Amino acid sequence: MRINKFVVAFLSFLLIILNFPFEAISSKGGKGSFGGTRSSVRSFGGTKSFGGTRTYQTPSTQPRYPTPMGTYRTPQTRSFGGSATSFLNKSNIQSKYGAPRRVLTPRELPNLPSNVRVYDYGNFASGLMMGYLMGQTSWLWYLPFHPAFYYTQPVKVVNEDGTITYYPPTFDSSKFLMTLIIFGSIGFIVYQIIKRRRGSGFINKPLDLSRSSFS
Amino acid sequence: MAELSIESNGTIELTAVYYNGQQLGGLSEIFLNLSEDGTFDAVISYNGTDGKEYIKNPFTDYLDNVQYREPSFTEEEAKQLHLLTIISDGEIDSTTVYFDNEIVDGLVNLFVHIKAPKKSKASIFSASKKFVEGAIFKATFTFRYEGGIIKTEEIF
Repeated sequence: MRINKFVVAFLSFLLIILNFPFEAISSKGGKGSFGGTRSSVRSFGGTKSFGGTRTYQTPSTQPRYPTPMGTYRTPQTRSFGGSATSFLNKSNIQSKYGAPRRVLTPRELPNLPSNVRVYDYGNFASGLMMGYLMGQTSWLWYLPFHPAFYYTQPVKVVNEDGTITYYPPTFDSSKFLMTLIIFGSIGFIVYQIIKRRRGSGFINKPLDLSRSSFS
Repeated sequence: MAELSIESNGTIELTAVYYNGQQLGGLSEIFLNLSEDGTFDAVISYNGTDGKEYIKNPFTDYLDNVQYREPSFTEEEAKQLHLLTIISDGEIDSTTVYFDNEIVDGLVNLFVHIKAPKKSKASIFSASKKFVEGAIFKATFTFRYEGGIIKTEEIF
């Protein structure tokens, strides 16, 4: 039974580790949940100012400043993965979520940068979003026994005008299914081990040897 | 010549061992391995009336302090069971085997190993302390058929 407990504990630990948002936490830095570290762009050194040929760079229209969920970078167009940054994705998200119950501005959330809007729908996911944005998360959220474990991070949409909109997390059905499969597998393995150890039947009753020559 | 009989349906719960016609009790293990090549291993292990554990050869040794008990099965119940009887003096040449009161011929090997389960400690799955661990019930005839075909069959 020690081995069984060890296997269950190890797999639970593995499950937690696989789903633990190390990047999100590490990007928060030492200033709480908001802010984070800027990308390490070297100010000096690297390309020499004198000599060589001049390379022309279009001035960036996108500002660089810290955001609650990490360092803001110029949006890259990607079809899959990453956060929704394009105008098209924004409209998709807006149609998916519908009209928010209220829009929170930095005036109501002082820790947020001035260009951030938070769409609050007044549901459980919105509560999780506020927890993430305010940095008031719990380690329980990263355990499969808590509903927050099965939700994504808040959805960040970078608008064309440079403002950022946060939408509530969505239920991650794939994570839920994976958890079910993993725990189901663990349960099945434990069941099989117990069944083999105890002979036929999950709980083996003691033999009635009252009529047998053996005792 | 000692007579050892085993009446069973293949489960240890319904297994009675008779020694010279009397049913034994307190057995913990019985092992028989008789072969035509002269092998004659016969061991019986039992708890005696004095509480001690004995290991004897039922065909050559006197069964000290062996426990006898009242017959367990009625005649009707016995009809549902098979009866294996071995009459021997410890030598393979003078050994006769009966199955359901009919003499068995063409035997190459007779193997019987029945072991009572040990009682383990309590488990999280039950309050009872008695659990089956290590129970053994194996009993086979090995026959030689015409044409030299060797075949092993379950006895019970």
